[in-house]
Amino acid sequence: MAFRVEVHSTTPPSKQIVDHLLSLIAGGEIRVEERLPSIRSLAAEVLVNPNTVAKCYRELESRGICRAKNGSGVYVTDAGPRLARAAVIETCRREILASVARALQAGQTVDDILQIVRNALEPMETP
Amino acid sequence: MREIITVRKLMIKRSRQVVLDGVDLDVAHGEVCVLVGRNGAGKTTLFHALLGGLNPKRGLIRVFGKDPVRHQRYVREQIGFVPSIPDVPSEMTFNEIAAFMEPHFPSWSATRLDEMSAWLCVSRGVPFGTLSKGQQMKAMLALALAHDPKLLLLDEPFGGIDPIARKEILEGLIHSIQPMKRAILIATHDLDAAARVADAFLVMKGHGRIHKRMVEDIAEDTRPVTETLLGALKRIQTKESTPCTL
Amino acid sequence: MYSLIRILYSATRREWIAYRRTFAAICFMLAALSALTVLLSPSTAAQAGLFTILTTSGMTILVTVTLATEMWTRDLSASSSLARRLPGGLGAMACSKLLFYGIVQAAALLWGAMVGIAAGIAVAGPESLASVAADLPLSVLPAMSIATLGPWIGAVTLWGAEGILAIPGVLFLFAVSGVPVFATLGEDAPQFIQALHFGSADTILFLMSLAISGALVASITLIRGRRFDRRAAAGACTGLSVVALLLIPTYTLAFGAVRNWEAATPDYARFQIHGAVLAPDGARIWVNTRSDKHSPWSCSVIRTSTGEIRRLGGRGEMVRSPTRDYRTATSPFVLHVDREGNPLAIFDSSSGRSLPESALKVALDQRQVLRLPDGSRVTIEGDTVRSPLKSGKTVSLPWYRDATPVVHLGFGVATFRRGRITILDFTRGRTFPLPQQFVDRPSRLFELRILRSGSWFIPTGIDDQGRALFDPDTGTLRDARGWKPFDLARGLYGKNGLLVVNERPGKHGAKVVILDPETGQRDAIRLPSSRSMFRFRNPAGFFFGVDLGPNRWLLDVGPGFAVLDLDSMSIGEPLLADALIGRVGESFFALAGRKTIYQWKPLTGELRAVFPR
Repeated sequence: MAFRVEVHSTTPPSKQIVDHLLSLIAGGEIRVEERLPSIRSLAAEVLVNPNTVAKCYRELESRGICRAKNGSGVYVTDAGPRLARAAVIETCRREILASVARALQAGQTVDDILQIVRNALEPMETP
Repeated sequence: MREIITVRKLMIKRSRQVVLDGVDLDVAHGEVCVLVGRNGAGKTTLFHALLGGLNPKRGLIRVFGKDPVRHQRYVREQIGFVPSIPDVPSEMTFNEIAAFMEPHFPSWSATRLDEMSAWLCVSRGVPFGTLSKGQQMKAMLALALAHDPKLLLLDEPFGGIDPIARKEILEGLIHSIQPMKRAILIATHDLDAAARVADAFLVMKGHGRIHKRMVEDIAEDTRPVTETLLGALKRIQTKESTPCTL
Repeated sequence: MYSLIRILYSATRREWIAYRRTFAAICFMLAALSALTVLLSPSTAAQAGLFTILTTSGMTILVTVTLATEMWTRDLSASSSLARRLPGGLGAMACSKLLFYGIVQAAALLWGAMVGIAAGIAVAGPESLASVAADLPLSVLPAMSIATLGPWIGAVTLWGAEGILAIPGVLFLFAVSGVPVFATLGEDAPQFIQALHFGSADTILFLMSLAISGALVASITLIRGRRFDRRAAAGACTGLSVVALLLIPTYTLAFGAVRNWEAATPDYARFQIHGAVLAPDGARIWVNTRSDKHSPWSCSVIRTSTGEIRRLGGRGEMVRSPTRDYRTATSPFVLHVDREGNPLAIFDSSSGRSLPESALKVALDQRQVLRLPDGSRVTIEGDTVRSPLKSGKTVSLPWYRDATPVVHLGFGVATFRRGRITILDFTRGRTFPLPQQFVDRPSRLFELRILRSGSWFIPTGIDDQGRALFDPDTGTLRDARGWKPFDLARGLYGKNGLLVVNERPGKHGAKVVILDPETGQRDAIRLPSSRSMFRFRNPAGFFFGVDLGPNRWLLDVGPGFAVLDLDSMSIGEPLLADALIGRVGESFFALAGRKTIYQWKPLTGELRAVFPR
């Protein structure tokens, strides 16, 4: 996982970590009943305070995406992937809207914007 | 006791100069606090006061509930200190220094030291003076952690260190964080590292007066933490209208 | 406790790590120098004992100079010292430095000894070990003295005199500490030091206490004076306070010793009375005392009724009698003089009351009587001596009140005044200058006796072994008759009687005879028991013995005094005493052992201790 926390970003580190985990869970890279990386190992990897990671895990827990199993770790719940996907999609939606707003502000037309999206998605269409 | 460090209206003079005046501070168990402030604000002096190496002119310090001057040994046995400039004899090797330090700390564990020094890749058999600054700092960190201190003090651990060593030190630092068990107090200018590890920021103003802000209070959606901190530091400078140096 | 030992061990080892190279260098240097000496000057190395002293002292000096001058301040900076911030802090630092210093000095001593012995053996073979063993204590003492400076040098470096400045700093400190004692002693300092009789055991004790006190001062300076980030000045304040505290017992002991030495109190073992003036009624005895042959004089007054002694004045002062009754050796006046002999006060010797200066003149003018051997009397009044002659006339001769000494020659005296010697001959009623025989041989004057017949009994011959009768008017000599080898003339008795002791070397006892050198007649005196030595001295204040009645005399028969009975020609049991102080009626006051004063009635044998009671 070549994921880095950027402290100079406007997004607080905890949110960056949460978003990253959500995308992992949503994309199926961490499946249901699979254990999330331990707090310490994730903290060591991304170089943040374990407390921060713990807070992220607690947040995911409060959103029902994962569950702590008495001391053995944090595991993805059954509803996890679905909820994660929803969260990711919601984030993407906001990001896309923000980009669209910026593009429109910059003078791009709706067609230009749609064209960009189509071009980006084309290679991903299964032939 | 609830707080691991309590400081009230602390005044410390050195060579007749007032260095700290009216300093208040609380650090809870297991809290990671980052001390930011301009050079000469009194960070190192505060550390020495916490170690019982300076006698307060006024005010009160309690570490682990005890006065560090009167209970110097008790307090020091549970503090790990990484000074900004290593204060160990340069002709001694890491092993010799460890052997020297060990009997002073009842909770010293050679195993722990071995693990930490291996993890940090510290050269153990060469004279300390021949090591690079980064290696020295890593070595000092390993030595400070060998006795499993309840309070870890680091004074400018990233100052003038090469990037690789910096990363290793940061990793070591994060590795040493034990929430609820070990409080850490770091004085640093490295805002990146500060933002990564802090539970709370201690912004040090003139005469060492501290303004404590928890990281969640500082976090705003529109600004990186580092920028907020920088702003806070700049405000200290202008507020106190010290002569501006470029 | 165990952890403290471990801390001490690791801290001491840390010191070793810091200095092992320096120490190795010193050891190597010494070995190299010794090897050079063996090669270039074998005779030096051959004196193995002396050479070992050099090597051991050399090692100690080098270690002291290189280590002690910087080991205490090495880790002192508050911001750059690991040891300072560890638990145990400065206390562990101080103890480990002292321990380390002691160990290194011991090692240095050992190495120095080994090198010296090796050099000795290399040059002179294993026999040289004997001289080393003999001189071993001698080699340890100088090394120890230098080593004891170590902690003091450390203390002084902590006070700010860094590096090599510390050594003169320590010497200055010692000098200043010694000032009060030496200021009190003044010119008597050398005598006091001699009187201390410092043996090697005392020296070792002194060095040990110096080392311990140095360790204390250095440790306290470090632990209290330089704690936190205090500067050297604060260390100096702390250290000097400790030094001041330590000086209190030291000064107490020192001043106590000085007091004992100069105050000459009777309970002091070496207390001695050397001169005394007795009041005519025996109420008081005024004494000159000292505690040691090197100590200065002091003077006191003893009340004979109670045995109480009270000191007068200060160090060096003495009592003197301006006059002395020649029969009783008492004096109604006693003079209290300072060191230089200048009068400070005059006392009435009986009551102890002080008298005005005019009393002195009165005293000197007082009429005195000098008794001659045959019982006749000569009166001294002011500047004049009035001497009755055989013819019945009385003649006046000049008397010098300030002459000292006055030597009694029987029927005459010799006075010494401003370098001039004058002989007053009472048989002729004339004064004579010193005859040529005596100018050539001054010691002869003290053997001169003026007989009643007018003949001067003098020693003659190359070695003064012979005796002759000299006529001062004509200058002629004739043989003294009856004089035998091993005769010693000791005073005059009776008319022409000469009291003589005949001592034969190797024989027990001596014979006492009365010899008339005009006629050669010898009358032996029976002694109560044989004595191995019989020495006659001139007792203080008494001349020619004291008459106790018809034909009874009190003789000084060193070591005591005895009654000489001329009727029975026998001498009674002597009282063992050093000197007679004076006579009051039937009693004599005698000084025994230079410490005790007795009152003795020689005719009845009654004896009473007057002082100490």
